[in-house]
Amino acid sequence: METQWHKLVLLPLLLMAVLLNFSHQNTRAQDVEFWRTTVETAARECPQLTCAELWLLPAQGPITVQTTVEGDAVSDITTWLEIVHPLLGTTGYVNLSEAEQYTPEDWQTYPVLPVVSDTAREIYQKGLEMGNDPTHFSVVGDCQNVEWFFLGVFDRPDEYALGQFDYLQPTIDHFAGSWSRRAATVDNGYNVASVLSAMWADPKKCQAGETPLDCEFRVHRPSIVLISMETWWNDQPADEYETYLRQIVEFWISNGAVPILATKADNLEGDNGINQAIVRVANDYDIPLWNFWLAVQPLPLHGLTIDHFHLTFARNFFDDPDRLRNAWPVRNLTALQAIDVVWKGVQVEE
Amino acid sequence: MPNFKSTTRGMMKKQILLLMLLVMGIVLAACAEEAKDADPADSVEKYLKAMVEKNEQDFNAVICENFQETAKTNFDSFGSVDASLKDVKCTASDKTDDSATVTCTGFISVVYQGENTRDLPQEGPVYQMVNDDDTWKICGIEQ
Repeated sequence: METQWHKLVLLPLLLMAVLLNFSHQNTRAQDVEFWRTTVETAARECPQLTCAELWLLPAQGPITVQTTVEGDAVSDITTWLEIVHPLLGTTGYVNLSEAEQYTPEDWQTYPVLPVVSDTAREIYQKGLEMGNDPTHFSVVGDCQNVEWFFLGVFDRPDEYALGQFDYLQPTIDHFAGSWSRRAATVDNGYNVASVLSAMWADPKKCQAGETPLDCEFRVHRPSIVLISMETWWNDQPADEYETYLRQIVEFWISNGAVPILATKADNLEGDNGINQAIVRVANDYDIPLWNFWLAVQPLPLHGLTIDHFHLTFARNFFDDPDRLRNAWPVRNLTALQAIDVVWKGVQVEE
Repeated sequence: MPNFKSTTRGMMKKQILLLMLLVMGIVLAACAEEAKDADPADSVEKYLKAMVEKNEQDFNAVICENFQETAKTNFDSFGSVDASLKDVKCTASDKTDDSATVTCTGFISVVYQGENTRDLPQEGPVYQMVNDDDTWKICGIEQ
């Protein structure tokens, strides 16, 4: 009888605890339907075949569906999906015959832009107390992070246009100088191990025995650090990449700089093992994640050139939708947005 | 009546055994002398060469156990590039039977996607060497 009573009370409590935990862990994915295109197609202005094509969509490109409407028949299907442009927020229509629901891997469901946690705010505040500069950010990265292509334009006003993203200008102004500066932790050929090795520190900038990380921290004292490492050994497992990435993250956290981890556009390793590792590390340390992989999925060829590694190029005029069909302007825009979100998110109201 | 034949045979056996021991002793002494004469600088050059050629076996042969973590990071840092030694020459100093220090000159030339991106200078690091079972191994680096 006593056992029965326990069961009656404890079982609902246990169930409630499980449900609460589930809802906490899955705030990204709960009640969200994931859709993608099945063929290369275009989003139209209205659900009729005579309507103008607004933007092109690659096959297997994720789409954000708002609702369904009726329209012209394609392959006898008259249902159309009302979708939203991932960057511009404009509405378009795709016939249901050209799309499907699917179940993405967990790491693929994280939003492009970071969510700022209390942990990130604590790291930032600790950094300010340690003397880090609130107007400085740093980059840790390889060839896709060299300032000539990545972020440097934001210190050269003639080379970019924000268009509808002009709310980002105060962030550009706040971090002036950091955009076009070559960090000691960025170079062609760097990987997650290079920035931890004193062999690679530039003797013109760095002191004897410093790693590129030590050097960058001493010279620039950033309050935010964007970490974006694409390349790794062809034949070494992603868990070794992850071990080094954790050391980099721990270095910055211990020095009071908020790390933002970036996923990569390519899948040269074949099983997306590196992106999975990056998301795992971001979760474990409760730090911001910029899911750049997701940002390029709607682009033609998923933003990659024929070598499946380099990004498709266009200049950074975000008021031109055609340019935003290429990965480099999307990389710069979403990186800027990520820094903006984190910078604003870590501020503690007095 | 003593058996001279078997006594002579026994003496000969002993003499042969002694001779063999003598030869073995000479060989071992020569080997030990050779190890003592080995140049610790050769191990550092082997370490750098194995690193740029991504030869993990040769690399591991010249590092101490307590230096493995740092050494592995250095080794893995070359994973995304092609590299070669440029005029690298290492020199030993403070050499005793058990320890030595080594410094080098020259560069590691780094090529990424066909373009020479950097030359990593090799002056500066002082390699701490230990004679481990007649092999000179790197047990630390001081700057």
